Amino acid sequence: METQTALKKSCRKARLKTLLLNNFSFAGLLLVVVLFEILTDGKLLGERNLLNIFNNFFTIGLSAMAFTFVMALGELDLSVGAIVGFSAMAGAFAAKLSLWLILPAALLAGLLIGFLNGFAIAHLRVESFIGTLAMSFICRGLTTWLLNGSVGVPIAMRVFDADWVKIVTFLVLLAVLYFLFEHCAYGMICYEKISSKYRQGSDAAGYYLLCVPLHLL
Amino acid sequence: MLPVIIYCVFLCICFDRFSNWNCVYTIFLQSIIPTITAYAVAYGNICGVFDFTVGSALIISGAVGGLCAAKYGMAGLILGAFGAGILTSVVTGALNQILKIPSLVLTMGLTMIYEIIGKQLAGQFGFVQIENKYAVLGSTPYIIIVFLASALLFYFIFNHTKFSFHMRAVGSNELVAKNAGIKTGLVKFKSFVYGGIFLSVAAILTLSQSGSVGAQTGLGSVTIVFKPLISILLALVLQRICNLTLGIFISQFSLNIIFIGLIAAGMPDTFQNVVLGLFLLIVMIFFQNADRFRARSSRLKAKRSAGACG
Repeated sequence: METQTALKKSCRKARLKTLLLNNFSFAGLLLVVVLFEILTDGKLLGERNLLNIFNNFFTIGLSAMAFTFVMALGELDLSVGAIVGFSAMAGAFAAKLSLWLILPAALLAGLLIGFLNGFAIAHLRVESFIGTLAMSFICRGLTTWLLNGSVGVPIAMRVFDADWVKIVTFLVLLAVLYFLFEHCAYGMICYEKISSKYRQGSDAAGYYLLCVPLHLL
Repeated sequence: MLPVIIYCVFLCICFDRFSNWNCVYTIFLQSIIPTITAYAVAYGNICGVFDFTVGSALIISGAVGGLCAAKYGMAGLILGAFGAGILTSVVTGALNQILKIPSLVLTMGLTMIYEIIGKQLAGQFGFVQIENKYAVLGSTPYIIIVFLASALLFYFIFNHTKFSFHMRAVGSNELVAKNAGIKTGLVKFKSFVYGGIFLSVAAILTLSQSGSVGAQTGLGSVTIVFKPLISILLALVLQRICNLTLGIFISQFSLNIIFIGLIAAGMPDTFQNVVLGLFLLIVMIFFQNADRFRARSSRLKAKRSAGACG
């Protein structure tokens, strides 16, 4: 009887340890939130502050969602920020012609860079670290060169800066990518790939094409 | 031959500026500091660890060297820079070994911390200056002597020590190296420390050549690593033909010819990044697909000869 109780106790301990280890980052995050909530007298989780935090991480969050696929593949993408800048520039130039052209222009620019990244890495066998580093240099150089400082965008574009647009976009993409990552064959292949260590390079090309539209936002 | 070919291309484009030895000499002098920085990055890179702290550690080393130079003169500059550079590398290496988290994540985080330390050291103006009399190491012939000594040291450590073989083994397959009895953690730690020696030299030369070292924040110091990293990658491609010590210098020299050539040809300096990226991509594509290209050319030859016979 005593042995059984001891066994149960040690099992419970082991389970608690595993639970803590698996959720260590969440526990850390929770601790930070609680700490700053106390230090700021409850202002941290106020509506205005939450919106500010969301606005700050909106672009990073979208890029990170796409980056999850590449990380799951065991690859690196150092060109994420540069593609965001390049696509934004394409969108800004297109906005001068018509507001309707912003999304297609930005999408095409991002898709083009994504295709080039995917082609170089999957087909031409360039390492993702080097290939995307090179691509980030090219994109950054082209963006600075073509912008020549900055480009003015029509005031009507401010409509895209509305909080509800960002929140809806973010949530929709989060749901789509969650579904793609957790419940679709492609996501499972990506996830499986890191454990089975590189099956075929063509999956990487798929990722780069997939993630690019997200950079645009 | 690589720098010679690139130089000849720019000689054809802008003959007036490239047709004198002074130009070659200037490019050579400008390649010294990035080459030594690349030596600092190379150990970690070959070992299979990412080290983004090199730029921020270089700033800390330079700032401490500059502050010590104001108090203790030349000895302060050298000892301060070496002390700070090696200390930051030891901290990075030790944390890498203790925390067991990916070096990419760890060094990114540490870079932010080091940048803040550098900013604090640089004071309200954001940079540390030294007096001209302490800047002799940045002028010729001292800078060349320091460069040659650094290259010799790098060559010796990289080719004639037990550590160099262990480092290559860890870099190619860590698990196999561990099973073979190599203390992989210690090898990685050493790669950080050896890198620290070279980044301290680079910091002293940067401080001596420009007279000041400026603090950077918001991961700005990471960009310091990229160009030396590219020269290492190119040197790895050239490794079949020449030693890595010379290869890094040749790559850096070639890159500098391209940069200066582009400016001489009237291109905006922002275009440098585009050319740098394209250059890296093209070299890597050729390197990774050399066997394919050879197979394709032999197939074409076979077809042609079959056609000629037919």
